[in-house]
Amino acid sequence: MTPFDPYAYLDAASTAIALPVPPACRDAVAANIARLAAMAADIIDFPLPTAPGGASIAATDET
Amino acid sequence: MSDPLGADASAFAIAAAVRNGTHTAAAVVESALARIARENPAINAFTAVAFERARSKAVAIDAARSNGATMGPLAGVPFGVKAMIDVAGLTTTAGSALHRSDPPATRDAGVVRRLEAMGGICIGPMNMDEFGMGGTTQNATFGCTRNPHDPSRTPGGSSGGSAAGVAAGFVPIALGADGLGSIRLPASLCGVFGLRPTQGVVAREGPLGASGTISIVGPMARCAHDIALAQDALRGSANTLGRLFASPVDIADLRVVRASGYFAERIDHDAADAVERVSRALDVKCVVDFPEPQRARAAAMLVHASESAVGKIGALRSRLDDFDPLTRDRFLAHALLPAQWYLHAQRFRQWHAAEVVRLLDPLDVLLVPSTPCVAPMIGTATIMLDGNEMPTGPALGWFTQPLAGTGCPVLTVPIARRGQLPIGVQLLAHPGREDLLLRVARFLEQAGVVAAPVASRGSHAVHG
Repeated sequence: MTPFDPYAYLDAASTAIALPVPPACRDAVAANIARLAAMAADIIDFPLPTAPGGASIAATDET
Repeated sequence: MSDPLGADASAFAIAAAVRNGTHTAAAVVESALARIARENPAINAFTAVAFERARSKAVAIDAARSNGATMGPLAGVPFGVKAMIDVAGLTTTAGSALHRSDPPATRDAGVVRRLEAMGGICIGPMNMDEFGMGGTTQNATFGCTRNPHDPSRTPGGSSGGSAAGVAAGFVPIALGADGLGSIRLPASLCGVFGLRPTQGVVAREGPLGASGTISIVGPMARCAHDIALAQDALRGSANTLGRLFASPVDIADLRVVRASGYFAERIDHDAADAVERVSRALDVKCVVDFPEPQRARAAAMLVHASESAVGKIGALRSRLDDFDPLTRDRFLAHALLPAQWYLHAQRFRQWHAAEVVRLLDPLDVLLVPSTPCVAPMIGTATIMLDGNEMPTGPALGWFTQPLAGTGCPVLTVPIARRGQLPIGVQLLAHPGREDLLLRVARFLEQAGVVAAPVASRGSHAVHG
């Protein structure tokens, strides 16, 4: 799969919704999109279990 | 009981004094207004003060008492609100130059009406990051809010004005709004109590710029009892949680555990020690794995980011220069996010919230750090946590963000640390069980483990 290109996405999306991104903001906006893209990928790739197991509970070695 | 006219007066003490006639609401309000006039310029917690409105409300309360009316549980209690919440007669700015010249609000937000219906007196709006987008309350339009415990440090954000105003003793109660941690984070750094209520229990009408499904209004205060009184008022119930404080609290029946893994990493000595002190006081013997904390954080951030841009595209097109330089690039990015990311994040969030409820099934309260460290110096760009250099804003929210989408109530309690900078610990319970959080908080107060003394600038300061 082609790696996500935040600049290409920024250009396409800003054109699509007619929201210009000034050149001075471009790098910071792309960086924000890239950061959120990584988060989104982590969630989209996560297989939501149909019958999730319970969380583990363990005794501490303290107290 | 504290002097109802003093900076350290609790809402409970003020209301009792006004009810029994020891002090008038007018005297309480004048005392608060004088403190704010004298000390707010150094802290910048309030962005405006509704002098005449507050005086007029106080006179009405005193007149009602003289006429034999029943006094509410917040009778004569001054409070402030995050600047995104409508206060009739004042412009609602949400901390933005975009709204600085708007006409004044014509009616109070529902949350203001509810507190005033219980006798509270709204003093005015409190500073915030623009539209709640940030964690340090640095604001290009309304100035930077300073931490009353050490004015060279941040109060956290985005409800930093609310936390700082309570910590400084300007008001005993303030309202904040919490999307990713905007109540719990500044509560930790300013050493006050801060409640993110169960999602959906507080009226949403009124706040400007509040994120759609993840942000919620909640109270901040200097004692657990005042949180209970304020939350009762926000829910429109006169004395449900407040009744918990009628006698000493016992928590022997509660099952309290501590979160491990993610919540024990990227944490410095102060924050780890805070969790340890609460664990010892509560005799915590078990740790649990909080499900998918990294993805829960990611989902909450995606939901918050997408929802934060709603209604702003017009201004981003036509008034971009009026956005705060600290938020402008983020709002541009958020306005461009694809719907699929948001929808996947919401789907994950729904699954995750159910998982957290399953985790809590055999339990009552979960302990989690609030912030990974004490308040950084204002302007600090990055902080080091466990050898990882992180941007300050995301780092400060490291432990609040994964809980944001769960729908559970979460209370930050301030650890008693004489002569040291404040830090808090989060308590999380089942949706609708704020009562469990307040019982634990009250127990910790009784044990002297948590406390929120009014900041005495200089005496608590530890300059790093």
